Amino acid sequence: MPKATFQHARIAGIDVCPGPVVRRLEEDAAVWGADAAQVDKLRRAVGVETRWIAPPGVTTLDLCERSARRLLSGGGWAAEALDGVICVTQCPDHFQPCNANILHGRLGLPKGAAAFDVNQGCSGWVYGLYLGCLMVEAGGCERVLLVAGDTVTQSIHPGDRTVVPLFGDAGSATLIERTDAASPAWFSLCSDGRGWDAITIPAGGYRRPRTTETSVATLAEDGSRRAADHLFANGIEVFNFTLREEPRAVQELLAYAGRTLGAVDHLVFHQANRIILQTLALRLKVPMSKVPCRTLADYGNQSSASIPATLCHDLGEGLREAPRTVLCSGFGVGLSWASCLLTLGPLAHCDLETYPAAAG
Amino acid sequence: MTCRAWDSVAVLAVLAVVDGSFGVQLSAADLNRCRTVADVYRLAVATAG
Repeated sequence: MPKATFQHARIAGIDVCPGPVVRRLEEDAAVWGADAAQVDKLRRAVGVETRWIAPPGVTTLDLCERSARRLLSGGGWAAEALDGVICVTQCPDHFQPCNANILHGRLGLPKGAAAFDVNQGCSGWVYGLYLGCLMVEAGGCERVLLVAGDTVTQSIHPGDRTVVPLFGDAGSATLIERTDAASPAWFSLCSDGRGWDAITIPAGGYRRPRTTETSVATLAEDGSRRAADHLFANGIEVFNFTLREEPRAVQELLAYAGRTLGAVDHLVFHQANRIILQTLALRLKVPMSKVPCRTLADYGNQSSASIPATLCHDLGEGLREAPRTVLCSGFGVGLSWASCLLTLGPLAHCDLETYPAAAG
Repeated sequence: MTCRAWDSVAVLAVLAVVDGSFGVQLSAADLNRCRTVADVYRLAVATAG
């Protein structure tokens, strides 16, 4: 797997903006008539108590813009001081142009700043962070803004019980800046395109444009209802992929960095679901106290925003005050997975706040 | 299986238990052929070799 080390790029601040509408587990379960035992099973296995979602009209770009403005304001950075903006999303406002270009205009970045999107999901924040660090380390940029997020719930059929109780929506903003002090960060990026159809929205792109037929929902074998226009996730394949690749990726990255799990304060995984997080901890022989998962319970699986959300929501207080050794790893759609090991903090800004309902 | 409790969450729970107890992963195709808990157990043992 491709690995890289950066020495002079660091994260200076993070902000996350979940959607403004809260959905509780009991409300989701009531939609398909689940009884108390089923609700309890969902609570223990999936681990999501409340999901914060974006209603129609509020897009990933809106969530990311709000997050970026709060980050810049909170950390005292001017938009003119940014040399680039990267947007990681699979829910762009348009096919053309990309979200990063629109955000560049909304924030008033200088014309000399680069702007581009990266189409990745649950592994995307790490991919974006790698690119941002690369731009800084290469010498052309002092500061790069990385925004990452998705509004996955807007692509889910309300009758799909395999994914409805899982996903939340969020945008995030991370500021990467050059530092003269040595600040080593180790990365690995991986993919397995043979599993591309394990998580997919079959229709809506150029391969299979949306039609009346692709919008017709049918009852699947798993008892869920969805159309080709909706998100489909093969839970078994995703689970097996994660357990096959993630423990190995973590161990290989640690070996590459010359570190051990004992030297890592927190293992911040993509907040996929509770069973996956618990099984990963078991496989790696680390206690759950090292694997934060409160973000999953309080906000749901937020795709590419879930790792920065966990850094802010679970670990924000500590990261604002003192450095921590953190291993972040995202995995999912693609199939794709990426990990990084770095020292984070003290961060000038590390906060999470939901999008205001009135602004929606 | 026609058990009412057998749903996508139960499948994940079984996969997690099998992974933890036998150190193997069951494929979707093989798991879907199971009709009883005993079938799942035999599949896990066979996969573990």
